[in-house]
Order: sequence, then C-alpha cells, then structure tokens
Amino acid sequence: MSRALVELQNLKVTFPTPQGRVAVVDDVSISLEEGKVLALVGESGCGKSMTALALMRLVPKPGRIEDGSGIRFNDIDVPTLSVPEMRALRGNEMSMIFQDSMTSLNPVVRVGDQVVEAIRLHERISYDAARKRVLELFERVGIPDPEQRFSTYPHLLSGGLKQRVMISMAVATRPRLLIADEPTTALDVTVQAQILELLRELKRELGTTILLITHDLAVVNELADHVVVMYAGKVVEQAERRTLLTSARHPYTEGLLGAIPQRGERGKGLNEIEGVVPPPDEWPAGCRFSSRCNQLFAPCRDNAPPEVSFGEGHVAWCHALDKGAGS
Amino acid sequence: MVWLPNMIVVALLAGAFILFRTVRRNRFWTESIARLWRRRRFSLIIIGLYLAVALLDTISWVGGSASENASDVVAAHKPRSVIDRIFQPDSFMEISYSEPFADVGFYGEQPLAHPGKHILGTDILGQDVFYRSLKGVKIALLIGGLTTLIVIPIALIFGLAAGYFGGRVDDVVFFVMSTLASIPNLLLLIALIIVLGTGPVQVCVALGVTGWVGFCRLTRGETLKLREADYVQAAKALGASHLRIITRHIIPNLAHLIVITFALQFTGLVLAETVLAYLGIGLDGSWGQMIDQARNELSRSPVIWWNLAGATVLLFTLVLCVNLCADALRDILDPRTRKEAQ
Amino acid sequence: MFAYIVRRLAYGAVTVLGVLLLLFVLFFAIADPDDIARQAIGERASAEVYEQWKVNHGYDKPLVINAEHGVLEPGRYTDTLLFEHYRSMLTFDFGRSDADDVPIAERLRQGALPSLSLTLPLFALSLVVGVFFALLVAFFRDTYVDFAVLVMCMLAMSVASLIYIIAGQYLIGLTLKWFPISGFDADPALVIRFLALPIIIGVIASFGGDVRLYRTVFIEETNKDYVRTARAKGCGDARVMVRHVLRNALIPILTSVVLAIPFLFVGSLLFENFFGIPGLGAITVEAINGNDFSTLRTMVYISALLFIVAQILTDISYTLADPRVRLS
Ligand SMILES: Nc1ncnc2c1ncn2[C@@H]1O[C@H](COP(=O)(O)OP(=O)(O)OP(=O)(O)O)[C@@H](O)[C@H]1O
Ligand SMILES: [Mg+2]
Repeated sequence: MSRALVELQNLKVTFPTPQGRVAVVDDVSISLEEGKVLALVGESGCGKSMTALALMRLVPKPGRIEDGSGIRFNDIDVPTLSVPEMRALRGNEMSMIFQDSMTSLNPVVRVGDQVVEAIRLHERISYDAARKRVLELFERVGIPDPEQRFSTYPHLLSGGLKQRVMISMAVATRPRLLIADEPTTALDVTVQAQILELLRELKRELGTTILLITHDLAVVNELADHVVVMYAGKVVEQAERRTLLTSARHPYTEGLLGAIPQRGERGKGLNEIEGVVPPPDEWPAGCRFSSRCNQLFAPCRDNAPPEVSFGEGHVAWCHALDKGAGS
Repeated sequence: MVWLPNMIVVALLAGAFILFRTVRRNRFWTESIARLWRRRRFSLIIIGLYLAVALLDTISWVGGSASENASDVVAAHKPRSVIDRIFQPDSFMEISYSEPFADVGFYGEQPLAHPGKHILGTDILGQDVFYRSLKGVKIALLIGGLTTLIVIPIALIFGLAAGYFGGRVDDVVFFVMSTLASIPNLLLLIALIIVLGTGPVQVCVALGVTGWVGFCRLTRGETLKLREADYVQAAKALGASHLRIITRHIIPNLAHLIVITFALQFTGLVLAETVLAYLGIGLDGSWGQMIDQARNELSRSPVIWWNLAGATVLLFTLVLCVNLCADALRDILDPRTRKEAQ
Repeated sequence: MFAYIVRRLAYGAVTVLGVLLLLFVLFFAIADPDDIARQAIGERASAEVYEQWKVNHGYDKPLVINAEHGVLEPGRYTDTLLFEHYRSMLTFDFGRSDADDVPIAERLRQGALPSLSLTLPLFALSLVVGVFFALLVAFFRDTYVDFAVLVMCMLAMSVASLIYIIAGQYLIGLTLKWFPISGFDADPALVIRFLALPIIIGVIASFGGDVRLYRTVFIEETNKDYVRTARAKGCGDARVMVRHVLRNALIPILTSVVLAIPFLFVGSLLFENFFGIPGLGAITVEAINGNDFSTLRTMVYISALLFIVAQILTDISYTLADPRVRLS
C-alpha cells in the first residue's frame, strides 16, 4: 500500500451568515494515496469545491478554514505554511482545473501567455523557452495549430479548447497533485469524452495523483480508484470504486446511483432523490440528509449518524445502516 | 400668498404620514429602515434636524412686531416664519462685520448692539451669519427635494413606458434621452436657467430636466429585465392587465432604486447649486450664494472666515449625512447583497 | 459590420438634429428675440435700433413659417429662423456674438488651446491618481487602510468643488505662495506655473468620487473566476492585482472615461473663470454674464457635437476590437 499524498483531518470551512458562521465543509476527513484517483461526489452545493479550495488555501473571503483542521500534503502541514511557501506550492506541486473554463481564463491576456506565466512563476527559464514548452503542451493536450492558438484570446476559443488550455496550464509544471473540479460539466457530450480520455492519458504518462470532483457517476466509473460521497458538507460514504458502484449502502448514494438510468441493471430499482440540497444555513441538525431521506426513522433528525464499516475501506454514516447492522 | 408655504407644510406632513402607513405594513421596508437606523443613527438625527429647521422656516404668518420700527408697513405685512420670529433679523443686527462672539465691531472697535450673541459673527451688512446659514437649509432642501419630486415621476413614467412596451415608445424615449445626454450637464443647466430665468421653480425645473435622464435610463433597463422575469410572465399568462402588472409587479421592484437614486441625486443637486451661485444664476439666500459672496473676504487681512465657514459647514454636514445614508441604503437594499445574505 | 456603422452614423446625425431642435426651442421660441435685443443694447433705444440690431444678428425672421411667401414657395420654410438656425450650425457658420459682435468662430479658435492646456493634464492626472489609489485600496480591501481611505473619500465627496477652489487658492496660492493665484501666459515655460494651482486643486476635488468608483470596479473584478485561477497558479497578491485585475478593470474604467474627453475641449467653467484662464469655459461664463445667447448656444452645440462624435467612434472601435461586444 503506497503512502498518502493528501490527508485531510476534520477539515472545517465556515462562512458567515446572518445567523452566525455555518460550516459548509464540516469535519471532512479524506486521504488520497499517491498515484491514485480519488473522486469526490455529490450534488451541487455539497461543499466539494470548498474542500478542494481549502486544500490549496484558496477559500474565498469571507469564508475561512477553521483552526483544528488538519491538511497535510506530501507530509507538509499546509495550514502552518507562510504565504510565500504556499505560493511556491500552488501551481507547482498542486494545481487545479476549475469548474467553469468559460470564466476561469483571463479574458484580456493571450492564452499562451497565461500558461507561460504558470511555468515562469515556478521555474527560472526564459520566455522563449517557456513558450516552446507551452507549444509542446498544446500539441500534447490536443489543441490544433498551437502556434496560432498561443496568441489568441480566450473568448475566441470553444469550450473544449478552453478546457484544454486550462489542463495544459495545470499540468505545465508536472504537479504531484492535480485537482480537477468538474472538468467536463460545462462541455457537450462528445467533448466530455475527449477531455476524460486526455485526463486518463495524462495520469498514465505523468503518474499524477488526481482529486476528481464530479457529480457524474459515469465519470467516476471511467476514472476513479476510490470514491468519497459528500452531502451538505459531510462525508456520507466512501469506498473503492467497484464496491461503491455495485453495493452502495447509504440512502443518498443509492439515490445518486438511481439518478443515472443506465444503472438500472442493479436490480434495486430507481429511487431518485426529491428536491435539491438546501442552503447551508438550513441544513438539519442530526443527519443532514434527514430532510430528503426515504428511510427516515426516529434518531435521524436529532442525532449525528454513526460510522458504519463494511470492511475494505467501505464506510458509511447512517442511522438506518447502524440499526441494520445491529439487528 | 401667506397660505402657500403653510399648505406645503401640511401637504408634506400628510404625505409623510401616508408613506409611514404604507411602509409600516411592508416587512421588507420596516426591516430595511430598522437596519438603516442601527447603522446610521447619527446621520439620520442630523438630517431630521435639518428637516425641522426647514419646516420651522416654512411655517409662517403675518403679524407680531416685525421690527422696533413699527411704522414700517411693508415689513409688518410680510409673513414671517418661526425662525424669523426667533431671530428677529431686523433688530438682531450690527453695523457691519463682527467676529463670532465678539463684543466690538471688527473694524473700528465700536461696541456692538448685541455683544457676544452672534455665534457666527455678522457679515458686511451686519446680518447675523448663523441666521443666514439657517435660512439656507430650506433652500437646500427645496433644491434637492423639489427637483427630485419633479424628476422621479417623469423618469419613472418614461422609463417604465419605454422598458415595458418597447417598440416605438422605447425609440422615442431613448432618442430624447440620448439627445439630452449628449449635452454636458452644466451647459444644459445654464442654458435652461438663462432662458427660463432665475427663481426657485425655474432652477428646480432646469435641474429636473437635466437630472431625469440618468434615472430614466436606470428605470428602463431594470424594467426591461423585470418584464422577462418569470413571475411577470406568469401574471401576464393569467391575464393581468398592463396597469396591474406595472403597479403590482414592476414598481415595487424598482422601489429600492428610487430610494437610492433620490439620496444620491439629492447631494448632487445641492452641490450643483453652489456652481450656479458662483455663475450668478443660483437661488437667493442659498449657501452657494453665501460662499460666493464670502470668497473675496478670504483675501482681506485680517481674514474674514466666518461667513464662508457658516455656509460651508452646514452644506458639508448635510451632504455628508445624506451620502452616508445613501451608502448604507445601497448596501441594505441592493438585491445582490440581499441575495448573498439569504 | 458595415451596416452597423452606417446605422450608428445615421443615429448620430439624428441626435445632432435633435440637439439643434432643443437649442432652437430654448433660444428662439422660449427666449424672445426682442428680449435678446433689449438685453444686448439696453432698454432705452428706439424701435429702429432694435430692428437694425435684429437684422444684423439674424433674429429678424419669423420662427417656423414665413407668411410673406406663398404656400408653395420654398421661401415660406427656408426664410425662417428655424431654417437659418439649422443652416448656420450645420455649416459651422456661427456668426457674431450678441454681446460684442466678435465672430464666434474666432473666439472658439482662441479659447481651445488654453482650455486644453488645463483640462488635458487635469484629466490625465486625475485618472492616474484615482486609479492608483483605487488599486491600492482594492489591494488592502477589508483592512483599516481600506476603511480609512473610504472614509476620506466620503468626506472629500461631500465638499462642494467651489470650496476646494476657494480653500485651495487661499492655502496654496495666498498663504504658501507656491504658485501665482491666477492668470495665464501663452509661453509654455511660464504657463506651467499658472496651471499648477488649478490642476492640483482639480485633482483633489475629483479624488473622492473617482477612487470610490474605481474601487468598486476593482473589487468586482477581484471576485471573478480568472483571479482564482491566477492565484491557483501561484501568483502573489500584488502580481494578481497588477497583471490580472488592473488590465481587466481598465476596460470599464476607460470606457466610462473616454466619453468625458470631448468635454475637455469645452474647458471647465469654474476653473477657467476662477483662475483667469482665457479658455472656452471662461468665454462661456462671460457669455452667461453678458446674456450673449449666440455664443452660449454655439458652445452647447459644439460640445454636444464633440460628444456625439466621440460616442460613435468609441462604439465603432469597440465593435471592431472586441467580438464579445458585437454579439451583444
Ligand atoms: N461566498 C460564499 N458565501 C457564502 N456561502 C458560500 C460562498 N461560496 C460558497 N458558499 C456555500 O458553500 C457551499 C458549498 O459550495 P461548493 O462550491 O463547495 O459546492 P459544490 O459541491 O462545489 O457545488 P457545485 O457542484 O455547484 O460546484 C454551498 O452551499 C454554498 O452555498
Ligand atoms: Mg463546485
């Protein structure tokens, strides 16, 4: 078993609201092994992006990472790093592909120069040398006609090309950890497949560890080794990919699986979850999923769900499962 | 014409009462006002003081002794306001300049008629500067308030019509707006006043004509957006009349814009009047005029500063308080920050 | 594209005609030519003198319809004040001043240079100072620096510009005696000394409002996604501000500021008059004081015309430069 590259211990990210600070990421503990792909799954608003941003210490103001959150990256204690040390890590050892490639590139800087900047921030090489590297990268990530694309502006590129630029920017420094935040959400289906293929190749070639954020279980099936399911700021279930996709236990995960029709062969029937994730200040006490759960019973509303282990790293947090295991 | 200013006071108080009644029933507005009060208590109190002074300066009647010189028939038949009656300006004066709280005149050292009583001294004609500055309050509020009362209905009607109905109406309104907007504000203002003449109503109309464009453009844009909003479309589908959609669904959603614009426009107008006063086309007795008259007194030696200070400080305080409230209001009422707070 | 430019030009032309119509209503229909004549030569002249003056200054025709001509004669419509007004303005044949008979075109030529020599540096300096401080404040946002500067801006915004001028002239000119308090000289070496005071005061007077406005733009820009990308690459805060935020924020700032450029030609009424700079602003103030309607309406027309032209140029250059604008 290889060692953990990323280790989150009781991570807590809070935002102020009129009712006081609420935790949008609450007590999240995840560990990610070197060279593996970990998928973070959940609906919109579950705190997936915030978890990733916390890892890079990029939580936007007025949000904040609470004291007592453990973030270890490559055996470095991230919260105690100085600002310059953190800067040296970002974009160099760990880098991120953002959710919305439409707005994540600077509209008034040539795309090539944006990638050049990513390289030259961390390596002392000349502009021309960096430019050559960028052209090779563009070639590698499948951007046609790199010379010409180098000096165009983002709004002239299609969504797929923009995402390729983002990817080349993220891998330009050969980071040890690549965070991909819903890298395919904004794209149409054929382009999605191409981008996934590209990520898979890059992982194989560079051996990069990937933290993949998605709400699409098909993407999980394509790429992930290990899956962590989040709901309303909490981890509700985690397991190896195969285990999770075939024998998920938590009602929320089952709901998510049910939400994709091609998994009908699982024989459990479709049990789609009704409604959407409520905003953070309306999250229930007790089990956060209790307001939407279809297997609700007495303790769910008031008590935090217990941890239930099924072996081989398959863990879920649910009252219903606890009762099931106990009887 | 004794009754006119007093009627205005009655109308204003009645308007304020109706506004209070309507606002009290609406939770959003009562909460916003409570938040404004918490954040800008001090400014609101000061604005209240200004309003009180202006009201006291408007309530007026004939009678009582205007001056010790009882044979002055004209003066005796002029209506005088509460402020006039408190200060008795006809007798509460000196020969010429005197320093604040002075016992003797500024030039010549002759003893004053009211030693130590002129908080801000007296001007070249011996008038009490504090009294004159207080008289400026009404004029400032008139410029800001009357103009805004002219501007908001016009801008609202045209902006709503253009935004809601679009098409020809929109073309015409847009053309009028772009025509007016292409003339520098100050020049247009001057041209209007020169042609219309100087006087409170003329100046306010001129300020109104130059001032409505910005607000109209805002209303038009906002209405365009609201027209496409789901609930407006739904109301339309249910067969609601245009009038009902506009009054029930669109105007309430423009209300916060109206309030913010009112506050911002107010300060702009009061400040603009000083420029007009400098150009000699301002209002009689305004702070701008006092400042303009006082500017040459600074180069005298020794310096005569109190004349300038009186008007400047009152003007600055009023504008600052309104600016502060406008700022807070923008925070409180802005839908963007409102949404984030949810 | 071509169609757009044609449409834009046509709309600009229509706006010019609209401005002229407004001026006609103001200066001919509302202001009575008889009044103008009386104000120009005094109350007690004989009727013939008034008539002669009106003939000399082109106020002697009927307003819109000349009944002396038959219904079908063109003279019925062309031999009128309305037509004459449009003709003279559109052909830049401005005629003579109502007050002292000096050709207005001559005045404009003489006044443009002094005006520009004041407003251009004032404009550029205000912009640079405003953007610089706004950038600084945006960099230190949510700290005490930010708070202090915002309070300062709020205070500065609440002071009337007339007060800035009076106080500035008194403090810097009279008390400290750094610069002459007013005057102008055509010699470029000397003129700087005369312009320094109004420029300093002008920059201070516009500081508060500018910084607050630009700060809002900067803060809005720092909340955008590309800023997060830059930080994720490892950019430091200062680099993010200068390399990424500034570049983007300058676009909206410049767009709003470009439209103020035509007004620079017309000068500044307040500053020129106050500091004795013989520019177009001072000429306008003179026209106001002398009831010189012909000069006044020419000034209004010229500034509106410049504004409309500038607007067309910016619109067209934006559509040429930025395909995003063209789509919307
Ligand atoms: N600036 C902010 N202020 C207050 N709350 C915020 C802010 N940004 C995010 N949140 C809250 O944090 C929660 C988690 O957001 P996050 O972006 O991590 O969700 P996500 O799981 O990535 O969802 P998505 O699939 O939409 O990206 C959300 O419920 C959101 O309401
Ligand atoms: Mg997200």
